[in-house]
Amino acid sequence: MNLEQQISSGALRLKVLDKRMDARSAPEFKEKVGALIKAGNRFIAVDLSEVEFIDSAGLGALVSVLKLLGGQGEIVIGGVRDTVASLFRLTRLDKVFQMYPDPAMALSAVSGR
Amino acid sequence: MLAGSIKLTIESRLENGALVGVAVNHICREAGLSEQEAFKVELCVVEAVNNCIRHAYRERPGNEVEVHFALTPQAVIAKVADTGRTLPPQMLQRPAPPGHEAPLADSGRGLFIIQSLMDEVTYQSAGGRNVLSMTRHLDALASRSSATPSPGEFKIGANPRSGRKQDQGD
Repeated sequence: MNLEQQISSGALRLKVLDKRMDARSAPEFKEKVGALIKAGNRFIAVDLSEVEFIDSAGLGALVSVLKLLGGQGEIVIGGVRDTVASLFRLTRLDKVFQMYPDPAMALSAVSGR
Repeated sequence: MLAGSIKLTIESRLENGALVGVAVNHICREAGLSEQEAFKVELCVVEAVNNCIRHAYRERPGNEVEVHFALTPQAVIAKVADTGRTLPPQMLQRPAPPGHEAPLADSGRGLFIIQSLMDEVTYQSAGGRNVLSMTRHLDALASRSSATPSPGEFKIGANPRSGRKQDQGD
């Protein structure tokens, strides 16, 4: 799982560079993002614009890192493709994560918090 | 339209699920399915394969997962088979998606996704072999089967009201 990191106004933009967030890559995502949260990052914008495929394991990884925040912070999602967005809607995780079509909008939403 | 059937066999390693998924997606696209339709078929096949590896084989490598994939002008049919542990019936007949009862559950969405996106889903176990069969009709108006399951077969997700209801409009 390759992640690109960018800090902006106290928020962390995490761009997933892999095309798939699935059962193979989900554990590594949880591990890497978990370490970033433990290091003090509480407001995170996950950029999924490169992700073409996500499955229940990928969704579970996002939920898992959200729970690591314990309500003390926020994770928002930006840049999802229509296919990936349809799975967020189906599983109603679009109600759990704030979703933004543009990754920059997602970052703005958690910046300066 | 591209039509026919293919059998893919992988070893029970989670990384191999992507190989089957990509193959199925490309076949669907070549057959003229939309990007959204191909994604949904790929997703269901990958979820079924993951279930075999995780639950039937408990992530132990060295076992086989077989995927029979067939395309007709009317439907895509995927049968995913393993020779591991049989899934408990209550797991297959779970009426409500875990994600709806507990939005923050880490897992448990796989079968719900399959049940939601496929028109017909059956699970059959016989002679030490478990087969999850999934059918998605390509014509949204096609009538959906209400056939009675045979002995030893659990029929799940075939109810139009609990099936693709939430999927429509994508």
